[in-house]
Amino acid sequence: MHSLVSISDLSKNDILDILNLARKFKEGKISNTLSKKVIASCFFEASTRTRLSFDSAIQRLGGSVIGFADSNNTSLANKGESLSDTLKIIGAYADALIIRHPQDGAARLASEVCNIPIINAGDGANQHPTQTLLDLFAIMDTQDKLDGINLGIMGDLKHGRTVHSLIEAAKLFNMSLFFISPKELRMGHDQLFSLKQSSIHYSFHIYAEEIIDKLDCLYMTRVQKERFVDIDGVNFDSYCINLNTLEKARTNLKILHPLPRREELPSVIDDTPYAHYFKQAADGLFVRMALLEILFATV
Amino acid sequence: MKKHIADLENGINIDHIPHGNALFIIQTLNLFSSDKQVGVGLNLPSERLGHKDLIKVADYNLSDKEQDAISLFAPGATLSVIEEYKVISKATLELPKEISNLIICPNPRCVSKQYKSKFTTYKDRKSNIKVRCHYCEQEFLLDSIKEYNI
Ligand SMILES: [Zn+2]
Repeated sequence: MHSLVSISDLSKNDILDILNLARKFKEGKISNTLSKKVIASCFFEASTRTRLSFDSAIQRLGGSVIGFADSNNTSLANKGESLSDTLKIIGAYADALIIRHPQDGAARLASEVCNIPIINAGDGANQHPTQTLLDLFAIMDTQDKLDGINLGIMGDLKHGRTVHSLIEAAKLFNMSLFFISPKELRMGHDQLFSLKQSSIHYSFHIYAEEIIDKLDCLYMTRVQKERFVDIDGVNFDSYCINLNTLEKARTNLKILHPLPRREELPSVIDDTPYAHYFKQAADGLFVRMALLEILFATV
Repeated sequence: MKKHIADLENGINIDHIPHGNALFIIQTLNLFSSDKQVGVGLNLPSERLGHKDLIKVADYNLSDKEQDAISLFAPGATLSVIEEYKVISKATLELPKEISNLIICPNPRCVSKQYKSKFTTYKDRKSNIKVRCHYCEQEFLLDSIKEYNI
C-alpha cells in the first residue's frame, strides 16, 4: 500500500492489517516509525476533529507536522496557482501528505503529482476512507469480528457519503444489511444491484423498532430535516431514536454515528450501554496511527 | 456495399454506425473544417441495426485517440482502411475500457475540471453504457454527457 485515496483501494487483508494494528495501539503499543519524518497536513477546508486526530497520531509516532488548517488563511487561496502545482511543491517538502479538499477527486490528483504517500482526509462529497476504517474498527472492537455482522444503517441512505463507503466495505465482510429509511431516501438502484451481485443479504425497513432485536450494530447518519420535510407523510421523528426504540435491543448492540450528531441521536442515549459513538471517534486516533505505521513500513 | 468502398482510392470507411451518431463523429474528427473529401450516409437500411449511418473519408487515418472516441460513440461500427481501392484492414470497434482527455466531467465539484480527465467505461444492468470518473469516482450515463474535449 503506497497511498490511501479511496476505500476501494484496500483489499480485505489491507483493512484487517490496519484494524489489527489499531487494536495493538489501543492496547498500548508504542512506535517511533515517524521519527525524523515530516508529514504535511493540508486542510484546504476546515475539519478540526479530523485534523487534530491526524496531528496527534503523527506526533505519537514520533513525527512532526507542517501544514495549514484552512487554506483561506494562506497565500494559496489568492495566487491562482493550479492545485496540481501547489501539491507538487508541498510534496517536495514532506515525507507524506494528508489532504482534505472541497473538490471531488483532489486526493487522487495528489497521488498522481506527488511521489510521497497520500492520505485522503476527505475530498468533497467523494471519499473519506479513514472515517470508514474507524467505523469498521468500532464494529470489530465491539463485536470481535466483522464477518457476518447484522448491521442496521439508518437515516438518509441516498445522499450520505459515509454510508456508501461503509457499504463497499460491508461487501468484503459479508455483512447482513438492514436499511432503515423512508422509501424516498433509500439507496440508489446501482448500489443495490452491486450488493445483489456480491450476494449480500439486505432488507428495507421503515422503523428501527421492526428489527432492533436482530442488530449487532446500528449505524446512524446525520439527518437533514429539510430532506424529510419534503416527503409527504414521513414523520421525521421516526428517524430519531429514543429509549423506547431500544427496548428489545440485543445486549451486544452498539450504536455508531460519524458525528456531529443532531436531533436524530438525543443525549439521553449517551448513558445507555449501547452508546459507542464517542469511543468510535476517539479510537480514530489508533486507526490513523495504524494507517501511518503501515504506509511507512512499506515505502 | 462493396461498390461504395471501391469508390474510395485511399482512406477510411466507417460503417454500421448506430443511426443518429454520424454527425457527432464528423464533429469529433473536425471534418467540417478539414480539406478532406467526406461521404455521409444517414438512415440507411441495415439488417443488423434497422437503420445505420455511414461515413467515408478520403486520404485519412484515425489517430488512437480518434479511434477511441468513435468506439465510444459507435461501438459495434466497422472500420475499414482502404489503400488503392482495396480493403487492407477491417475491424469492429469495441467500447474502449478507458477514455482519457475526451469527456469533460459533468460533476461541477470535480477536480478534473481544471486538469485532465480519465474515465473507465462499463455497461450497467440494463446494458446502457456508463462512464466512471477516475477522479471524483462518480458514474454517468454516456448519453447524459454534454461536454467533450474535442
Ligand atoms: Zn469527475
